[in-house]
Amino acid sequence: MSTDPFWTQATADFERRCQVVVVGSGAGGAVTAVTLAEAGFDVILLESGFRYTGNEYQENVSGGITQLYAEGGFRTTVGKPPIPVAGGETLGGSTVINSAICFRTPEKVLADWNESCGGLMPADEFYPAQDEVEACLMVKRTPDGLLSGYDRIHRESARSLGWSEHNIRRNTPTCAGCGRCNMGCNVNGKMSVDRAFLPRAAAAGATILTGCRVEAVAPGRVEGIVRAKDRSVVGRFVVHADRVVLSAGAIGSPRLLLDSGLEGTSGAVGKGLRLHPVFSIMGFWEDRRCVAPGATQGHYVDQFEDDWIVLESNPTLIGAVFNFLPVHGQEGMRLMSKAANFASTGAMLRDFGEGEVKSSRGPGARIKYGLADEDRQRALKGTRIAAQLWLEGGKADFVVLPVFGAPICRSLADVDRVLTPDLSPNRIMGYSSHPQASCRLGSALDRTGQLIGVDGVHVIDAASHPSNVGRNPQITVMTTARVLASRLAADLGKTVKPLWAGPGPLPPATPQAEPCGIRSTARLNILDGAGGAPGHEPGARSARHPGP
Amino acid sequence: MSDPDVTFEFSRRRVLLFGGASAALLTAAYHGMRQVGFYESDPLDVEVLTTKEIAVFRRIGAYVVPRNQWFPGHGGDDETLRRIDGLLARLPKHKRGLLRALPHVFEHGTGLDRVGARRATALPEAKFTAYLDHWAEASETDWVVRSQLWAGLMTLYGMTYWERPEVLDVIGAPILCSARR
Repeated sequence: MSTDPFWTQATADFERRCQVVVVGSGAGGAVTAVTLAEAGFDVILLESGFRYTGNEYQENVSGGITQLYAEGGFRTTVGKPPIPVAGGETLGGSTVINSAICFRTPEKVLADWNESCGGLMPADEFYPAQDEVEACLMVKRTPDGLLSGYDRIHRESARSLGWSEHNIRRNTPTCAGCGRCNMGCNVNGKMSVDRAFLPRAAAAGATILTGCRVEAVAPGRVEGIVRAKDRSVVGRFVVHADRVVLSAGAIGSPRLLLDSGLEGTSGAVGKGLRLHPVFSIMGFWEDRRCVAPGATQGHYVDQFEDDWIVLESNPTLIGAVFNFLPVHGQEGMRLMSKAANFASTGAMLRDFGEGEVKSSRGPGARIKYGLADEDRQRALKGTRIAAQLWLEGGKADFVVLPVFGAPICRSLADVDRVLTPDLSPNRIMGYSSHPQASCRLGSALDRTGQLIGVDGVHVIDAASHPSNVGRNPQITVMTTARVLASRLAADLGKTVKPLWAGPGPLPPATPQAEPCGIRSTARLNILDGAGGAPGHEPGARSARHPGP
Repeated sequence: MSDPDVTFEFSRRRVLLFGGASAALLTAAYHGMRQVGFYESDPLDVEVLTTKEIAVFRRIGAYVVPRNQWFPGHGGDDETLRRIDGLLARLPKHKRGLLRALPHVFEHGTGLDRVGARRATALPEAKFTAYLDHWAEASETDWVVRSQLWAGLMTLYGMTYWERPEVLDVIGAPILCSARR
């Protein structure tokens, strides 16, 4: 077996016993593992993906996606419209490939949750845990000096319209502004959970194994296959445990339960899925380059939060410009030669329609999801708002809408001709990175995340959310995990140690930026603006819950 | 030798049935004949693509990313094909299978346009262009499968040709920074 200080890649058959086995190493699994291991449990954590660092990360999008994303990045829903659903499959899960965006859970969302789950997430338990999580992740608002070219034009456009806008808070204490968060940070600039929590869990005695894909779950036991990095099967494993915790994400966890015939008595496993669909709108400026290094996503507009629509500046991928551009031939090539003049914003919805994760009947997940009519209407509204941002705020020459076959739009009148109230959902192109609420607290799960009707099997991850957050959810997922894992530990007679125990960064160490061979000196200069000692941002905490 | 119990009755119903079946069979055979063909072997060294798949990707690639004055190469050249092959090789098998079905769908999708149409790569340039334009305009219908297939095809070229370093250099877009540099 090849090892480093905190993880081991399994390479052959094995059978082990422990007190708690955690399936999945993302936002939910890592926090669960560190909470339980530091409380004194003997923990084994199984991750189906692999560990990559530094120069093992890929130099292009297709390489990064096939290396780090579930189902090679081609996981998608069935429904109107089909929606790609991204998710990480690597040690650290989606926190390794997200844009490091950190939103606190809105108080009205928590109130909604408590209404629907019978008060299982009281604010005085939830927000102190969230303060701890944010301290550990060194969450800080993106400094102006680290805004990318896309962020700056996003901010400029929003300000010219007088809209409420902010720099995004992120867990990137030593960000170098490469803009490649979604393909894995190779300069250790991001406090993903493989840096913030998994080494601590290992230090507390947890065993962390990669390449272990769980295929069946039962009370007291999980089993599956051991894979090499080339995806070949090199063995099988069985882990016996007093408690099984599924943290394989809102798609993976219910899928595992359903494939294993473990539905409990609620009938709610897999149901209630929300996706936070995002609709990207590109603006184009004939004489303005938008590309400039900086944060992957550093700016957002919350002017329309009453409609649960947020606009977030997006990194503009050249391949995506090509995919969306409705112009082919030589004119298409001419526009592509100016692809650096496109900027993109994503209109993200807190969706109210519900989808379903079904038993898989094969190697891929089966996700059923259709855009509910109310969500479709808000998708159209979000798209129009984004078009307004670029056309009126940014004085863009034209916008490209996420509507299949829509022409280039040079004015809001053009946009309105496309976004008719009866526009079929089949033509709307969205994507999702935040599946949630497919195994909900209060419906499928009890107060410790235990599956109702099945003793000893818990679900602790984004699936456990009583509904969706309406914001990028990694902080909420970690907080939920911390709350549920702490309750589980306490119920089993253990004392939970603080996640953050004092001022300053937590172990294992203060993260250091590492040289990455960035070619542009402009990027290195950014470090001056972003620099300063790494640390959390105390001002972000709620007045009611000042934190430890 | 004859069997006295066997008699043939040429009723109108039987004649119609026989005639209908024959016509259907001949149509299917004609349709099938127009859709089959040989593909010249391609010297490109690939891991997963077949000769047929290479031929289809080459023809479509040269249409969606044509030779032009701004960029080196095009969507149907060897480098793009090698990148498509590499991308497919890295995917999990079940996803690879779905994406490898794409060239077959586009090759034989001509049959959906018109019975007896030739396979796509056998079409003359003008008809081939019109055929693909029809796919690209599928937006005007609500047929989600059709638009998704087209989007899937564009994604393949978006993740291959448009990731070539020499292409990104023309645009002035940064390659993802890497410790390997």
